[in-house]
Amino acid sequence: MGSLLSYTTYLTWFALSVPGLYLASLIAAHKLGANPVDRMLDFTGTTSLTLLLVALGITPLYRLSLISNPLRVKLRRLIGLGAFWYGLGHLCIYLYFDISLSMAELLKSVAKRPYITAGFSALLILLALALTSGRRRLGLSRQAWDRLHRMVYPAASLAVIHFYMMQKADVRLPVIYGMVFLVLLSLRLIPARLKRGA
Amino acid sequence: MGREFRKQLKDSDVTDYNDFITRKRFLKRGIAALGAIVIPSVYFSVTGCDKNRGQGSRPGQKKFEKNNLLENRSIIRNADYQPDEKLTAPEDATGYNNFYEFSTGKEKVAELAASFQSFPWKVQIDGEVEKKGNYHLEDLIKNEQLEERIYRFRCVEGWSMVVPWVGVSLASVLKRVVPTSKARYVEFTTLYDPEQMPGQKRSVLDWPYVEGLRLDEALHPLAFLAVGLYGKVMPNQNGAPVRLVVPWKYGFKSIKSIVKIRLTKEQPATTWSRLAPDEYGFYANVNPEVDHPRWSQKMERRLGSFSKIETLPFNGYQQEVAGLYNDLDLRRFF
Repeated sequence: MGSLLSYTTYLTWFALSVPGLYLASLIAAHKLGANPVDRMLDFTGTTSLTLLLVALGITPLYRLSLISNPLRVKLRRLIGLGAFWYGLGHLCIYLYFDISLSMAELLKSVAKRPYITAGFSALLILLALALTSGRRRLGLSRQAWDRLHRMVYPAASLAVIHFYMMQKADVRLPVIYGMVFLVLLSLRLIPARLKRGA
Repeated sequence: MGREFRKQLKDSDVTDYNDFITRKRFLKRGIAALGAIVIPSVYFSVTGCDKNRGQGSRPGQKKFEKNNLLENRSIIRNADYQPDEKLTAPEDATGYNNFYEFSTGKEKVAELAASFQSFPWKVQIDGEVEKKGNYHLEDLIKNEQLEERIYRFRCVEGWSMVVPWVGVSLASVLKRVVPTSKARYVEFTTLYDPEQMPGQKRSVLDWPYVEGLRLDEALHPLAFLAVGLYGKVMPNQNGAPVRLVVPWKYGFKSIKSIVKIRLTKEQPATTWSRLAPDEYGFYANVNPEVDHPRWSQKMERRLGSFSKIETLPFNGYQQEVAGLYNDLDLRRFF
């Protein structure tokens, strides 16, 4: 089991690095298209949100007895961290190319632009979750850790809202992400209620 | 296609007598000095050999009739509109298009528009004009001098480009159809044809696309009816065969593939201002001081570039057009 887990770890790391390597190859080959910064923002943002939703799907897989508990813990952590790193990359591209690393501009935008408020809040939550994702959990009790990490749901919903608010007219993609999120959320709520009823 | 390319190059490469005469007439008309007549061969060298222009016929595909609006016509470079700015790469300007009639994905439009049929093309002139009618596009512009003008183009989304349009002054076309004294606005309508324009099968916008100008804006010398880009007929994805270009306004005002021009007494109900009136106004003048409700308009990014530059009032055409809005509160009428 231990070797299977470490094998899974390597495989997951590799899978998580694929979007980044793909983006790097586009940059190296000057294939980012007419609006390279928008392309990078779009790519990293979409990757981050997708990984976040995949991470939310891990526990339902475990509840359906499709994966073991140690595998669940491992996958959830790695994929969640992947979402955080792509989200951080997304923020860095914005900071560097869109606002030239101006902290004043960042604070102004976070205060003034609701879609940036939403995206930035989502990333702050992911930062807290990433910092406490290790084995030591920074001294948090089991319950405190559980409670903190349930914040992944507000983070994902804020990320979907951020995505939705950027669209001019065509909201298909963010609506699809939103529906997937709601399905994943309800998957978590229903078994809990069933347990309580039993 | 190679033949067409050589022919165009030859036509425009030589300053012949006719061009010289046309130039003199232009000077007489008081339109400032016009520069060299040569359509710079540099466009042809950078555009290459029409990789995917969608004009002409290709084996295994539907045969197209050629839109030949530029054939056997002299094109004059208007020296008033030759800004000292780097031109946007043709592959960027023709590969990144907001043209929801085909797709909301800007980089998907060119391919989806490749088989668009832009010839023959009629434009209906209607409303408060004396010479109403359904005109062939070539007839509508045959008596106007084709000019090339390099304009800045600023999208409301925050990207921009600098491109050489080929076309005619909108004012000269409008004057030819003689607006009545009641005309106060001009309404433009894009083709509605979901078979050819697959984006229209979804109701992402309220089709057909409608845009409009106040009559004095439409008669302003900057307002342009473009039928070409980079010295060639208008690529389908950029609004073939004829589109509006109003460079001091956000790009969505510059309506594409126009089939109807109607002069009206009332302000036209334009597509984006109907969809989100708090976000897109009727005027939509480029204005760094008035944010879009969701994002800032202070900066813009030229296509192909990583860095941002400052957006100028009226997209840098303040001197020319600010006078149109002396009595208008530009914050209220954004």
